[in-house]
Amino acid sequence: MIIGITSGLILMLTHVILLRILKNGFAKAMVFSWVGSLVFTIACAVVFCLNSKELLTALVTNIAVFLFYLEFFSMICRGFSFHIIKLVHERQPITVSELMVQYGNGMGPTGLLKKRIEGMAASGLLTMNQNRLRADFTRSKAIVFLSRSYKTMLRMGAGG
Amino acid sequence: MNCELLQDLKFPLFSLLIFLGAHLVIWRYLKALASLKLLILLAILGFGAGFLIQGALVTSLGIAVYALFIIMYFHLYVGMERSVSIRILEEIRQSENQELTIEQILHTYSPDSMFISRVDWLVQGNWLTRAPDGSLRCTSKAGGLAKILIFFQHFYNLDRTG
Repeated sequence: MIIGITSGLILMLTHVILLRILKNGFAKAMVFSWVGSLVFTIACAVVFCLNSKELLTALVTNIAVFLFYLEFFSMICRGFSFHIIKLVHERQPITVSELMVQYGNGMGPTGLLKKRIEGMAASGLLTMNQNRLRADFTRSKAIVFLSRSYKTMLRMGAGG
Repeated sequence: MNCELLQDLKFPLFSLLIFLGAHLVIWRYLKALASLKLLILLAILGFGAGFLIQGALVTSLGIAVYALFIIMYFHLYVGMERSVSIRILEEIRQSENQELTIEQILHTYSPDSMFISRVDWLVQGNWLTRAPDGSLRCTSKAGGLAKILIFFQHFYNLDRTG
């Protein structure tokens, strides 16, 4: 478990360094850092002659730390409420309409939603044809099916 | 090894069952209590209950597997509850022709009203204060959080966020 947690620290350090090298290459930096931390875990298993159960513990801890770190980073990077608080802190006193104009480096909530739709089209979740959007891909249908079933089961409302 | 592994997995599976069972019952029948804070508390209680009942069988592998399950489940829950992308996909699939224009999406899922309701939620949660003229200010706890956020953004060298 200690090896798994140490590999998490290596993941974070590698990620910080890669983010400075690969400007805005968030996904690449994250994947490379994780692969690096996995290699570290396996190398430790070889050096310290871990048995299969200890190796499994180290790998499971590594994946758990990676997922925790991913959530933490995406909160720092894209957290909606966090960024409203930060913007108010920097520009206070500020009205809601001024805040909306300045949110997302001047893009505002509508601009950001459009950017998100373009990102979804680029990643193959939906198709955009002359401003018309469709979500006919198998994985889009699977996501919607899973999401609807989950929200119905837990009576969660529309979400988003 | 297989038998040993099954023994190791008893604790996380048992704890997860307690966690998911309590989560399902509260979210379905005691909706007013449902919140992310309560879900975190249930995860800790699930761990504690599993630990109390299976004390001698708890191993570091078991703890790691439980931590992994819980982190994966929180990814799923937060994604389902807050993901804008999933909501957009749902809106498109539920529309009459399973096709929407960007303007129709902006009409049914207004980002401006979503923004305003999030600001209202922050005011209710004592993160922001609203003066009679409508201007917003951070409370002291929000100020502290903003400083931490700014530190991490410098640490990661992030220039475009939000």
